[in-house]
Amino acid sequence: MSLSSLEKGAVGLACALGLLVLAMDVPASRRATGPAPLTPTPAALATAEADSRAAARRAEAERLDAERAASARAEAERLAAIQNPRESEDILPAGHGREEVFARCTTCHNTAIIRRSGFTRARWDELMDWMTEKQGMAPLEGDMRGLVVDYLAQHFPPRRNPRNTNPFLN
Amino acid sequence: MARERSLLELYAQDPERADALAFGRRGALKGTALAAMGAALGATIPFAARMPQGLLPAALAQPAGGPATLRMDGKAGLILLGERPLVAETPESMLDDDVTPADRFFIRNNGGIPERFSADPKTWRIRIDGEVNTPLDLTLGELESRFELVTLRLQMECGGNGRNAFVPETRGNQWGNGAISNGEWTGVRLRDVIRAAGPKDTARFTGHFGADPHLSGDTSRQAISRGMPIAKAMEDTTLIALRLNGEPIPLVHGFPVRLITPGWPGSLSQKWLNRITLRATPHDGPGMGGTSYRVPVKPIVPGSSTNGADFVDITSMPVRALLTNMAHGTRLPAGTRRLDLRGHGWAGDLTVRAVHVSTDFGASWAEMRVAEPPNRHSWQRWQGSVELPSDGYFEIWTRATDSQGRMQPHAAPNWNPQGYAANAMARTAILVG
Repeated sequence: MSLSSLEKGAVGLACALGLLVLAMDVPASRRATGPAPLTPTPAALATAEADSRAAARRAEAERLDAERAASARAEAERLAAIQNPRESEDILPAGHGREEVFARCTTCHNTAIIRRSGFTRARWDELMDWMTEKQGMAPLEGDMRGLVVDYLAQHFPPRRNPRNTNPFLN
Repeated sequence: MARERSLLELYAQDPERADALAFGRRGALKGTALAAMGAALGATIPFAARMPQGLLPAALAQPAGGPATLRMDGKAGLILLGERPLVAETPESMLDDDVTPADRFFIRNNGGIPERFSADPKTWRIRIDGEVNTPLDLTLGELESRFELVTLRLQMECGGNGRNAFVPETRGNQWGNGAISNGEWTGVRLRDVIRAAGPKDTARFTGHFGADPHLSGDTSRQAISRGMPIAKAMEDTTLIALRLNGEPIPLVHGFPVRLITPGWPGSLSQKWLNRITLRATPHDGPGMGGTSYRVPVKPIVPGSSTNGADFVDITSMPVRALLTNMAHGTRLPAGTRRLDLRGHGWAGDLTVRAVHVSTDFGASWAEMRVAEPPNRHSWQRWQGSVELPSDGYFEIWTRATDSQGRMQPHAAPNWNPQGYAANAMARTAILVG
């Protein structure tokens, strides 16, 4: 990993020479005592050079991979900051149940969708079942459910076009 | 501004009194009520006599405090509807281009945004399995070399676009009309890939899967996984898309690959696509069944309770037009009498036959010119001009008619609990002088 390209070239050359020696069937014991080292053939030199270039390419590819992975992580962190705005419970109107509503709802989503909603108590109540059935929310039952639904119904009632009270609705 | 806020506050606190003040008990907007409304708007309303009873001027239909603005690398200042999941709408006046720039695409997520696939994008894999003779497991590199690449301008619209026109309000993100885009997508036809897998006779529906994590962090759950009838999958405009406007798809829009199912709810254009399964029965992933992306066949009482058992899946989105060269809330110099207007119209699987504009609350309509789409499932350009009689407050109402003669209604039709397919005509408030 940390070899310079010069060092890699040298290693490649040594390997090529070793191969050449084997190919010539020269006993290893004779190398130490033999005459001057053999001059590499042009073919061996070309192989060594190609190996060295391939190693350099691999190192460059690894460097680029690491760079891309680091940049992807940094991007994910920036996006996480956008997707997880710092909210505290006082973003919701004060009232009995606010703390519980904030804690339970922001397990999955932030408060924007609550603050932009407006339903009757019956529709808020149904929404609890829908979130459990469709979105995997832990079932909300008993007093806790009453507390959460009462808070939502009181602070986020239907607001749109109040003149339009439907004669078919209770 | 102070007067405007006070009327809005009055609506929030005491709707009946506010309505009585604004419209009067006899319904017509006149006398002191009209004066109060005019004062709230800071202008007179020349066509007040034609304003329907109970209709709040569009200028007052904004939530108090104004919408938040998205601040994100590579994205324009969209209207931020929610952070988790991240959802942002494109203001209509940012949709003037024939080809929507990537930074102006609306954002809709059901789950989180997955970390970018940082290896060579060509090594991302997609599986095609289920009711096929030869399941495929293809890299994007193989996909691109094996199948014909096509480039098309295709609408992609959220199934909930226009939701904020429903009365009473429904569940979900309160979209105006800006959950629409018309990008130039490059990809392979889903049809070609399905054929290569050898669909069996039982392959009648698709199911789509992507890499986005569920919001709860539960890795065994899909954030969303929808599917469609095989006929839509086999249309020659339904793509496995690899590029948007000639560039890699931005991460938030599905990098490196997504489906584009134009003209049908955007949830069928699965982002971060990694698997398509073919099925004998309709898909049952999150976002299917019940009241999800489904509408009543027999209309229900608005605001009433239902489990959606007898609803049907939305197929083609309904007709809609937008005014794109004049923003809601534009102030024009005193004496302005002629308005040159333009925008886009689209109609799901159909085309737009006509676009009309009214500046007098629908009493009279001027027909605009509508261009042919450059390819099937692209939106269409419309343009024309209208004359104003005076200075004052006006609303530009924009109404498209589809190729089967159906017009956009004044009010969002066919109320449903999750608020889909609301195509009430767009209203843009302007002030002259």
